[in-house]
Amino acid sequence: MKTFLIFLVAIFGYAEYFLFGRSQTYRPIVMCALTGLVLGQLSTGIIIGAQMELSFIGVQEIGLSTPQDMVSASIVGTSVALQTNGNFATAITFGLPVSMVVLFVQNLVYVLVSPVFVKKCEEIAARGKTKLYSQFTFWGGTLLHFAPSILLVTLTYVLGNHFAKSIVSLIPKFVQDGLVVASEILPAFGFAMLLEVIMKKDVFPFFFLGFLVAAYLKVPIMGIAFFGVVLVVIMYFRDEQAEKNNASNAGVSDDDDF
Amino acid sequence: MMTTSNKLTNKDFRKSFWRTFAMGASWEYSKQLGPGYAYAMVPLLEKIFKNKPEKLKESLERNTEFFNVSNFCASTVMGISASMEERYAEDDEFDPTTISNIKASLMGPFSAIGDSLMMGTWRIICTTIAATFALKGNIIGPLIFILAYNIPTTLIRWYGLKYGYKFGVGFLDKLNSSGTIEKLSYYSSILGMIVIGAMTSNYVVINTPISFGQGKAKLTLQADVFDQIVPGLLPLVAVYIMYKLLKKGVSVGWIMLGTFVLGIVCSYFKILVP
Repeated sequence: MKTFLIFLVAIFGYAEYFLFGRSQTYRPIVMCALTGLVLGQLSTGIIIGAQMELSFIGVQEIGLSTPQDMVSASIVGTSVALQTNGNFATAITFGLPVSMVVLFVQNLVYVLVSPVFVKKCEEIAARGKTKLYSQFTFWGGTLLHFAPSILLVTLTYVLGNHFAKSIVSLIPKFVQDGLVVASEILPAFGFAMLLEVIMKKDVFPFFFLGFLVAAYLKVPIMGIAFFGVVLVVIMYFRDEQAEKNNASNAGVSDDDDF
Repeated sequence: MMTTSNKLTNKDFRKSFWRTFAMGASWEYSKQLGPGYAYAMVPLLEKIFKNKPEKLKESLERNTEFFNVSNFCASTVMGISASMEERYAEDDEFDPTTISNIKASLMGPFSAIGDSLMMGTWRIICTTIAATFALKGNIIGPLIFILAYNIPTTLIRWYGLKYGYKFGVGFLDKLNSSGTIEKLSYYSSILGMIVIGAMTSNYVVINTPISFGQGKAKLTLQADVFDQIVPGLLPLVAVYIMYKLLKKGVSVGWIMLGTFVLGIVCSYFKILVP
């Protein structure tokens, strides 16, 4: 029964791509919570999800790159952690390798089979068969690109059920501590990835503004986000005013020319 | 000129709107969202080319061409190009490559909205708010995340499709001439920076048990030095090093693996503790 529910959670996760229109429901903050719900430990699942989300916060698919398969990492990682009374460190230690295997299988399909599939789509389109085209692109794409991942996740969940406990008990204490240390540093990596995307010289100081307010004044993050909104609105009005002044100055100097 | 039966109605838009959620199924490296774009256009194209089977064939095949933009932004491009497909259906002189060109030119600005504004910044802010609840195991966290991200994107998905069609190509000119897109992405990146800075201080945890001297003269590095001068200095350094590694082109997998190895080594020598 639980295996079947995990299977459904896996379908829900990958539906992100073929049914949910990239609604971000595949992210750890949602997937780990669902896994926790299925395994009867909702609130632990949510906590693991929040920690994993912060580590993967910079992972974002832009165009070509698919840097991580967060669905498998979330489901497999959380289920192993919950069954071994583990924490986020356990989840990421087990989730990460599995997600790399899943990612590899996905890419294998994309490189070897998908080009043939897309050729076929084009042929059907050229014949103007709208119904057949719709069914073929949707069902063909779904089965080809996502069914393997869904099955892999379910399979590793079943295997993890059997082996996870004995593997975890073999790991020495300092390694387990080390994994926790690493998992607490990982959000730094997530934030660095975000910075890489949006960092520009003219907005760089605002990073320190947020950092210093949090570090010295201990304002909760929500508060800082609201202060940020107010600041941006003030800046917007000032910029608008400056633009207007510039425009009217330009108008005056035009008149002077006459 | 056009018979009323060919005019697109709300019903057609609804069908197309639902299809945009499933357009990613056929995503693939060479054409990316292209085949899915044609898939989502099917209800509109069927109506527009009702009595023109030859043009329908041409149009459906043409619409499978390379296309990529954030999923929820695609509908606006679809609306705009539907208005042009209509012109193409009426006018035999109309060159359909114009539609392809305009579609291609729309990818840039809409990716700016989709990738940097919504996925890059708004998602981060949703995560920030959600994480404060979720870290305590509160179900409100994931729920807030889903709602806060999806309400605006779903509105853009629906109204983009309708207004894209209504205003046609002029739609983008309107957005571009006032510099709206640029301004939005500038201000939102400021907000993003502030929030990432705050998260660096709050969510990266690095503790060192290292201390010097003994008894009253004992000086612990963490409590007596870092926390007094710059609280959160170690997290800041960690983000900086990771950022530099990414800039150097070190891959995601290696950095993660390196972090694990570092964690285990530092734990063994008691340099860092959980």
